[in-house]
Amino acid sequence: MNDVIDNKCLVCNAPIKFDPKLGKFKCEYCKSEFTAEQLKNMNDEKHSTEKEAIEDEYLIYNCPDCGANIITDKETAATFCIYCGNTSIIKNRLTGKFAPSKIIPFKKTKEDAINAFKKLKKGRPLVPKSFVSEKNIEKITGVYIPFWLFDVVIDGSLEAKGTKVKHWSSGDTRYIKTDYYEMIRKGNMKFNKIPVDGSTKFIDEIMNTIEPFDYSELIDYNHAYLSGFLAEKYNVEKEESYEIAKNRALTSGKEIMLSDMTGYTNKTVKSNNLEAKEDNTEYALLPVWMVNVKYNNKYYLFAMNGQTGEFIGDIPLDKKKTVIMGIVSFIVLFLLVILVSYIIYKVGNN
Amino acid sequence: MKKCKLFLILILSLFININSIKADTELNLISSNEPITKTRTKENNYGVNKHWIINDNNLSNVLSTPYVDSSEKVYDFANILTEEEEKTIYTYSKEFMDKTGMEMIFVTVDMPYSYDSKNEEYAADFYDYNDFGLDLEHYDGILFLRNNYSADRYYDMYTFGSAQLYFNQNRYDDVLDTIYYKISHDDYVNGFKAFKDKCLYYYNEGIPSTYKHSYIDENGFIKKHYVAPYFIAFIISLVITIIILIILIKKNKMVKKATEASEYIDKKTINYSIKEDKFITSRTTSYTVSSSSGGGHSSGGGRSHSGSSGGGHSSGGGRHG
Repeated sequence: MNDVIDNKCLVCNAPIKFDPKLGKFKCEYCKSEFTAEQLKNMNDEKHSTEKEAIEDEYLIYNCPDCGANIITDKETAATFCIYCGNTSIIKNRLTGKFAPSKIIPFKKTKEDAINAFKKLKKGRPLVPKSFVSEKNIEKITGVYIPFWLFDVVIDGSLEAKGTKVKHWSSGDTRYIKTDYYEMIRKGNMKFNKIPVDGSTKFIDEIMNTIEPFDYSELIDYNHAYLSGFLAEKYNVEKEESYEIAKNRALTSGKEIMLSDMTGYTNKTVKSNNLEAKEDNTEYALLPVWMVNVKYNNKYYLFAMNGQTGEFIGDIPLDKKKTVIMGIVSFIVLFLLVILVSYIIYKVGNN
Repeated sequence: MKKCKLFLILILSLFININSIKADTELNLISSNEPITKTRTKENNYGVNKHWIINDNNLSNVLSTPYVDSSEKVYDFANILTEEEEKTIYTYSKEFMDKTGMEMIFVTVDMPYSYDSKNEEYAADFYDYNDFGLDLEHYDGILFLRNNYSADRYYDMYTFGSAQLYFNQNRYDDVLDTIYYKISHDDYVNGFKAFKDKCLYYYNEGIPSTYKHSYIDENGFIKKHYVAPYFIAFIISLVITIIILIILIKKNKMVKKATEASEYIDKKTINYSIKEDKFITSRTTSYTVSSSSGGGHSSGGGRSHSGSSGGGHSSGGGRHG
């Protein structure tokens, strides 16, 4: 049984990749295009590979095309041969309990990620001038990242205290009337597909920030979509990830119930009896472009949502620019305040 | 011959009587102490020797204002002071003028009024349309008015020219309150003495901080010199600069941990089995905002007002009693 599969053109047998713009697989040699369904049965036919585990951390495979050794870590589910560039999918890492049920294919290309990186300067005056240069990009990798998508039902009650304050005047007397209320909301609501990054390789905050994905484009998983991209399998169990989704749902459930208590000047929660129940969970691979940048001997990691194009990451500050901008801003504002005060003086005296 | 003698005696006695009547009349005039007034005519510019422009709007005010000898300083139209008292009060005025270079005028009237402002109008016209402070830069001086109108006795002080700068509302209140008992008990000599002493005290104290950066313009109004608010500008600029920098720095820090899931809520599934807002209790509090300072004081003092002459002056706020 083959553990590694690759995508071959059905016409010329050359390696083929998924083209995010076409939404299809395209052979770069004979220009043939195939849908995922057409390629679905192709993967387990011709190639075999010899797997040899050398350590717990790394595994060596032989490229089915050129025979070169491919070294991967334990979590990688799809990779490339560094010699011939062929995509290799390690099948047993995406089957059984690791079989994703859904996938969102890449819509954004590598060029989109480079352009998004270059545009980081727009609207951000404190970005170092040379930071967004393309030459600082060390590596751009399209990765299908394993996500747990949790459907969470929030059920229970929330009790709060609220006040309504009215002010009015009669003659020289001013009145303040404060009405005190107790509010109760009991009920339930459902959150659909709260995503939790299932891999410890990726920083959770970065994965949080590229949310949301457009789930209307979530489709049934097919190995074929992985061609041309890296893929990871989860290494954080569902139960552990669920805690994150549960807490997010509980926070929002409380806020939704509080926001239903309208017309109050102040609100404070008296008791919170909301509970979360896991309703349905799916394991999906979601597309992300990871961009590694080296600038002034420091490394910076950026990520782009491979579907929506949301590009995020922490950009270093240009300290010199920050100081200059602070001083200039202070001087301009100072002079402006003096000028305004002089104008007010002149208008008042006339 | 005898008839002729009798006739001479009659003529002589008649002459003596006439002279004694005349002497009585002169005595009566002196004892009433009425200020001597002069006549305002077009030829003498209606007695106005200051730079005010006399026109149709203020001519009636000018003509209705007594034209007095400005050297007298004490004008007892209400006839409530004896000649001796007038002389004593005159020495107070003289002392004040010698020490400060400003006029100090005492005026008493018996004038019906409905509003305090009528007293102020009278005082302003009296000062502006007579030659008080004529040789001073801004006609600087203080006028004390006592209205002895029996239905509502009243007194107030009015400042003109640079004298306005020496009195803020607190000082006006202090002067007027200090003399309240004496004036309301018709002890005018001591009352005016205390008035003069308080005014001298505040003159020696100097211009209060309220008017530290003020000056009197050519029409006698208090105007403020421009003082650049460096400290306020420093604080405002610093705070706004910090806010701007924080906003710009935050633009470079895009990575955030997600703590909520509001964008994943299926709104159709929100279902409440209990939705109750229960009224518990109500509490009403009130407080009074009073614009008056109490104690029968009138407000409105301490600001430059315009008289019918167009010149500025300030008033203390007045006291009834």
